Amino acid sequence: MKTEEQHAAALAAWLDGDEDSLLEPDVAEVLGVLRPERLAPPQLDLDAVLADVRVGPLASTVAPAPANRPWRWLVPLAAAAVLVLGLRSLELPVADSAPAVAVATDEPTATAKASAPTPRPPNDAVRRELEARELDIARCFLDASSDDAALSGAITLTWTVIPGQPVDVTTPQNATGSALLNDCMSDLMRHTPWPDDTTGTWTELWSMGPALPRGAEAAPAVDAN
Amino acid sequence: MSANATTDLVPLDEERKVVARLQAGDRSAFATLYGWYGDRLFRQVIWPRLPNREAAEDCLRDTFRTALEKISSFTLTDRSIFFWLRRIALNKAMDAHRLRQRDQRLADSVKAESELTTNEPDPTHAMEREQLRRMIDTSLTLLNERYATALRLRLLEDKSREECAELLDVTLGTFDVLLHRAVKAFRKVYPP
Repeated sequence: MKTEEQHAAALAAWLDGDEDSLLEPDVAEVLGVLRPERLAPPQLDLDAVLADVRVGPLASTVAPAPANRPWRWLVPLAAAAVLVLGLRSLELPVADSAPAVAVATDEPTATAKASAPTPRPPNDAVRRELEARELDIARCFLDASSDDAALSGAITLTWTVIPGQPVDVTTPQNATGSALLNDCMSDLMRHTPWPDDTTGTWTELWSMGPALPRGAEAAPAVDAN
Repeated sequence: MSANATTDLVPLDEERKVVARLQAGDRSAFATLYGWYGDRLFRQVIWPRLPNREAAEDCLRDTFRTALEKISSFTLTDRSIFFWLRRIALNKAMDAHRLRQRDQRLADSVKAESELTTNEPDPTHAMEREQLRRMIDTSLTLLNERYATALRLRLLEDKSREECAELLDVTLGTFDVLLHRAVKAFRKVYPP
């Protein structure tokens, strides 16, 4: 471990032009503020940014999944989400594991809809998954709020989880009027790696407003344009 | 070619072409826009408010993602797209602090700044620097005088180590340690 004198000497060397001098993180942060011209440029993957654009003329499109492995499309999307959104807790499906339930594969979405039972409120397992994504839901709300400072109202999503199949998501109610919020939350439901004990059709209502959702404070009040 | 109001920005005619390409769905135009203003947003707007590499890069990424999603609603008039991007970045910085819920005072400070700039004329480069200088000065007032003096002399006035040590009447080695402690103390009170 370095002594204070060694850290001080490293700072002095850096200020005298030694770019290789190793700085402590908090010291480097201050120097970025006071000497912005020597701040290392940002590392941004522009393709990953574009891949995460959900609406508008530059929105990314998703290729249809192969019929024999309908969950495969989750892998690049989830990887992009990890890169772009910082959803670092998102786990990818295990590539070579077989689906837990045998289902028709020619039209998986139609099959899921046809066999879906009446939507139920989340069970404990589903609730745990939703709680683990509170910050992501908050992020959806904050993003949508930058379009509409007064964004509020209820949004209800219904989704069907069948192992090995893409998650089917519908929006029976969206009183917020925000397509961005709907798209973001629907994507979140689709990309959540639901465990086997969450198989079924679920419905949940979120009341969005200045104090909601949990995990976030009031929405930003400034329109960016 | 119409000149941009702020001379160190890209000419408006050039910006107009790139905005039109983006609005037409030309994804390659994003690299041009990022090349113009990505680094500047990072250094001048985001880092001073989120002085942490991971948080600042996340903020920059969110800024451009939101801008690309809203590009259809953007109209370039007589002001650079930079100012639109800047406002988005300020909002994102505020959001980041809120989500982390680690410093409500700072979130309020950034929000106040964002609201302040909503209706004011475009901030020029000089105004941006003045705002940042105010944030730095405010933080310096929260430090003990010797630390603040060391930071001012060495980092703001760019005096040499030898000059600083002489002005503070200490040896070179003592000045190095004093400055190091001052930098660490500054980080605890910055942003104010």
